Amino acid sequence: MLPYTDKDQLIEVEEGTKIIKGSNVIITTLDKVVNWGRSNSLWPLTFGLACCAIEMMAAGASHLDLDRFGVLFRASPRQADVIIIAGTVTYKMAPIVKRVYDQMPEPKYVIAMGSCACTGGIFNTYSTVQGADQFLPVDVYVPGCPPRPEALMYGLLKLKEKIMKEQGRWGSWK
Amino acid sequence: MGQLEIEKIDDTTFVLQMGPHHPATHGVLKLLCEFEGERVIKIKPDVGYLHRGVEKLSESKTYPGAMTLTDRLDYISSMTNNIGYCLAVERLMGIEPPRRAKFIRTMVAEMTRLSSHLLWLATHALDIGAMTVFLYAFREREQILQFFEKICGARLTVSYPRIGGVRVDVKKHVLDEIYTFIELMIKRVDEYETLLTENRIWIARTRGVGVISPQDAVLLGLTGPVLRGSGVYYDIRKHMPYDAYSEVDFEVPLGENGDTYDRYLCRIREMRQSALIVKQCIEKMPEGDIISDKSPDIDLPYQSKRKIEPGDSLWSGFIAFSEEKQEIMPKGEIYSAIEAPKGELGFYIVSDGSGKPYRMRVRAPSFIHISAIPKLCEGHLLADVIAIIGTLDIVMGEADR
Amino acid sequence: MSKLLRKLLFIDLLKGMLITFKTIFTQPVTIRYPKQKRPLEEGFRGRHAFVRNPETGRERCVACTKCAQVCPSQCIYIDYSVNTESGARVLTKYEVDAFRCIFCGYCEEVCPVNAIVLTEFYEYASYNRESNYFNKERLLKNWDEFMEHYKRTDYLNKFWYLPGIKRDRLPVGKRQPRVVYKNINSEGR
Repeated sequence: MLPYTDKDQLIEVEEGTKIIKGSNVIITTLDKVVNWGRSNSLWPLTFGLACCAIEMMAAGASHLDLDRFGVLFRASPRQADVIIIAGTVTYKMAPIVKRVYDQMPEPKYVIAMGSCACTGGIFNTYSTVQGADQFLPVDVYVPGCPPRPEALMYGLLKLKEKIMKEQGRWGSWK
Repeated sequence: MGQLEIEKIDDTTFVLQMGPHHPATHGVLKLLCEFEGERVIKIKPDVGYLHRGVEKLSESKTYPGAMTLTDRLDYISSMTNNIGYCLAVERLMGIEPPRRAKFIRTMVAEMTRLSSHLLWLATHALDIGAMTVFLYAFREREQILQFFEKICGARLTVSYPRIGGVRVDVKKHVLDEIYTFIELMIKRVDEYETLLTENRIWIARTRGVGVISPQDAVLLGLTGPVLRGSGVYYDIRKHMPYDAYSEVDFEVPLGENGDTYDRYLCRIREMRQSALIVKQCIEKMPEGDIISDKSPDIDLPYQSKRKIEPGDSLWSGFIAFSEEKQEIMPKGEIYSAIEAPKGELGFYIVSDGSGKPYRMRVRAPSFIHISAIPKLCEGHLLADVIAIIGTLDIVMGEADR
Repeated sequence: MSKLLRKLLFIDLLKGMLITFKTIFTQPVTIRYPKQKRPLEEGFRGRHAFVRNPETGRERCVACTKCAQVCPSQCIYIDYSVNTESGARVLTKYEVDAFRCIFCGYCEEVCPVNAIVLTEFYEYASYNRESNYFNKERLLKNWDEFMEHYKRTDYLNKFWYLPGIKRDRLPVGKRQPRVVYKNINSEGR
């Protein structure tokens, strides 16, 4: 609890979040610094499911070098910030995707890449999850079947924009 | 989920679950391995993490519509999948594509083989520890995908061949560009060989690893470069030539020892042969039609339309429908196989006369290659398991379907 | 003997390193994506659009529902009413779920009047699923957006004309190349 009880000293920035008057100068500056750092070192997980994983690899390879954006693929979920759902998620695979997502440290983001991860795509069958957003909070949807590597990069840039707009998300404790 | 039956557990035995999220399993393959120290005693692959029901789904699509599903089977070489499916339907219908279409198909199939082998080389080398080859191989692969985009408008899931031909014509200047690229490509293959073939680390990691005798390879049903690495001469392009393979000149490279190194050499030589086939196709490319006159349109009806005559009641119309069912496709069943980059890719199609396949079954090489993992890995170290998975060139989209 | 010497002198590794060293001096292949874009090939299958008829300013679609019939992923939803006087069909609903689409291009190939097209535009990732569920107005807007950035004045999709195919196989509307000209007047040039 804040030591201030005077209601006039507090202003409401979000629903349920109140801050001390004048302190938002510090907070917004801190927000900018944190978001800048976070958005420039998005480390995705090396996690391929199907066709889109090939285009994800192509985006990380020599022609369209993802390292230019500070996007380095990490093999361990403990070191990753972003999980790119690249391909069809089946009912057998969904619990594992969920577990990998749960292992990632906060803050974490999800990109659904391709038609299959967005809605299930052509595979409207008994074994396919109809969109990764049924069990994960998806931040950016990248359409295409599979998307071009440039389209994935555009999705990552969109995610960057989204992170830059975040407020007060400085750690997992929030 | 699969459980491994453990015979004895003592201080030296332990079970490791590898995958489905593991960068070296090439997709979503799970391996249950039982180790004694670091030596594999028993290994059991668990598949089905990418089972999308392609075979069942194709029963609800028309023949041209089901072709788009075959793109997503072996997504690294979708062109050959499409060609395999189209050939099966063509043989069912008894039509033959025009000569130009045959040459275009052969050319794009061999380009697909190049791109598939490049991706295999990239990931296999990356797993074993050669990062440079990954970057170099993707450099050339990207150019091949660029050509696919020029030809048909998509990079991976092309949907380019058509039952009885191909979709659109290839322009002259694109053919010239492909020709110059292929000449460059042959030089690039030499580069990869300089980086790997004599490299002592590469030899130490691959020679003598995952040896399979020709007899065992045949008994396990292995095909493609994995079989030819053991020295068995079997190539559908030579034995049952389809498209324009009977008109082009090429060799089938064979290995001797049947280990990972020989399979690597086999694939590298195959890349050279593919480049030569593409060159020959461009040189011999005839002019003319690209699609057969008898080929079905893409708006093929699901079922034959019933004839409604004026004054008919619904009931009489129903009787007419059930009796006068016209055949859109000839009835029958067919198995037709082609030589995909991974091995023998077969399509078994049953037709009941309607516009949809009654049953479609895919004989996927990757699925059969997975069954060879326990045999190949016996007695090897954990690090060799990675090399063996890489050398089999598994694509899970095709194995699970 | 020479084999041992080669091994001792690391010839195999040095030969490989020479290649990597030579590559330093070659032109880098990397494309600096947001600033520098790869030129897209003609006929690339990207975002959906409805061709705006330059004469009437409306869509060309005649509601024949062929595209919905051939669509393998069944992502096109069409509704139409029939004009009782003339008997012509009037399009009332046309929706495309771009996230379910697999970009096979069957719809633009089968369309008898060249109404729907997959434009060469791929940068449309979004934060929610609804924004890429295109209705009729949105599809026309997609076309305007595409034409705005289109460099040439005439547009002809490869799958409208299908080069190399015998003309009598195609519907009447597709036998001749129907080029769409960019409306220069609307930009005030």
